[in-house]
Amino acid sequence: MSHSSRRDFLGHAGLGLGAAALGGLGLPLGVASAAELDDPQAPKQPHFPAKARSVIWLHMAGAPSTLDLFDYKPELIKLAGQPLPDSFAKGLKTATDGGVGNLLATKRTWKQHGETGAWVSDYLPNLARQVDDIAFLKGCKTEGATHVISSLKLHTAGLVPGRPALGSWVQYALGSANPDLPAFVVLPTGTGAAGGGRGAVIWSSGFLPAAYQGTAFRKGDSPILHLARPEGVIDTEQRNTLDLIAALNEHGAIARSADTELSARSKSYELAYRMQKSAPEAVDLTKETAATRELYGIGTKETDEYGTALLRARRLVERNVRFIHVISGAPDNSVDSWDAHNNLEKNHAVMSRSVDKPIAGLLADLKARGLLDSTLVVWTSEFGRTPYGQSGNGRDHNPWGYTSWLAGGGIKPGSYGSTDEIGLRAQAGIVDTYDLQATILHQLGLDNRKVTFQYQGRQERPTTVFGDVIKEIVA
Amino acid sequence: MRRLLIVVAQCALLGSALCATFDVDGDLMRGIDDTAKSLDSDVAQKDGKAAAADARALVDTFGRIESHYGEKPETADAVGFAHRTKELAAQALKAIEASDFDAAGDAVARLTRSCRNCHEVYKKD
Repeated sequence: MSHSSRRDFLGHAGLGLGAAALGGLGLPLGVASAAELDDPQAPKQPHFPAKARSVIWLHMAGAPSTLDLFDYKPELIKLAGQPLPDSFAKGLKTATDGGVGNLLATKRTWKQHGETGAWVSDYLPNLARQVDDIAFLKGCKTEGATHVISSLKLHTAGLVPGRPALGSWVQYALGSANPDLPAFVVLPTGTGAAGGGRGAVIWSSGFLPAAYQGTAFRKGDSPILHLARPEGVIDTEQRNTLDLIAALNEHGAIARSADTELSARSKSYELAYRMQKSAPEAVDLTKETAATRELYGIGTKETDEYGTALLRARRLVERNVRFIHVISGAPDNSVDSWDAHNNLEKNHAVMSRSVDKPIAGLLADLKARGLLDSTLVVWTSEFGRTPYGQSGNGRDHNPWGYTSWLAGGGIKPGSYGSTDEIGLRAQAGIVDTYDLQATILHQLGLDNRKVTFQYQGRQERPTTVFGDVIKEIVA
Repeated sequence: MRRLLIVVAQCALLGSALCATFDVDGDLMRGIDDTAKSLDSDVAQKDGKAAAADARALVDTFGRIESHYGEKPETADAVGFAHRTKELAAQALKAIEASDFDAAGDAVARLTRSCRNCHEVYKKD
């Protein structure tokens, strides 16, 4: 068979299934260079011994008000109803479309919890029982005041699309620890995409080879689009087709020993074939006990979807998936996301209820199974929300001061940093998104300054030229 | 070519600064940002010649910023930031000239940290 006719044959006969599966994997056919496709998932050694093997990245899309969850501010309660004092606003460009309303006090009941004495509001009663495993970063800051820009910065360290997501960098630097599953999996939840900043661009591989982009798992039994064998094709037929393609490729490779793209293409066909079994099995919750499902809130309307995603995340961790990005979404149509520009009380009641029990269940389950030590759980959002009100009963975007937290994966529990007296601006222990990213990489055994990829003549890094490890929270 | 354009742009920037009022504005900051990224990359690639050119440009630029703020008594802390950052660029240059790219990388990391510290006070937004 001539070279061109063999390609025609593949294009018209045997490529359909492989192409569909590759599409799910994010491997573009015929786009990446040969070098990029030379087994991009091969495991690689970290720079130093890792504390964490996997990351579960809990992205609270839409930006919750951490002033109503973790950052208790008695002074804000005292000053409620007054205009934002100039002394707090100095140097900040606070005006947005919604204007700057008077200071808005939290309506929650607050209590200190655990041995660490962490403040948690009554929005999160289940998570409050897990605080002794959590390191709260209470002096977080970022840039931008729109969801898309700040979400890009949180996930890619860039303010415009085009840079790789942190999960892509992790996969690039460490490869895959499970040859049968993607190393970077995304689990979106919710009924819509309101709030912005939660589309595929935040799990893109950017300028890294496309093989490193996140693989979004769908809800239901078949997590990857077009992965299932087409109707009417039995396993033996598929196997025979793949064997024939492999044989033809091997034959073609004899005369093209340097063609790594061909080799990588063959490997990807086999990976897709293996994933037809491994991916559905990884998300098959029927093998979990009733007690475990209940722990995550599965079976209860408000928590079912998010709990399902987190239990899937734990199962993926058990299967050595390196980076699992879970995106929060509204559990029903009563709210859009955490983006509470108005009616914050109702919004956060719904959103908090949807994540509280599942996240607490995840932490407890990981700990009970001995997985929390090697799994880094990160709770964060594109920014926080302002202490001043908007629309009378909502809060605007706040990139200047908010709370994120980490648990497990060699992180020392406690509280680090703070915002000012009203929770507007980070004032101590300031953590930019670059620092959060550098710390996550550090726990995975990677030096953020040594992970590099040449793009357009420059050595690019996951955290650009910034990023300091938050040593104070590293155990 | 890209580097050449950057150097030409830097020369134009610095040249215009010599014959006109030196403005510490968004254009200057974007130029510094780009040069710092270029320096970081050049150090990572151990391209001594390009890295030294970038480091010299930063030493020069931060020296001018230091002088600029030195004329304004109300911005004494900016003088300190500019001086520290100039010193770090000089440390990077010295390490580059000694072909010690590990030390140069450390100096560049401290330099970009210094940039961030300054912007904690002098907000760009």
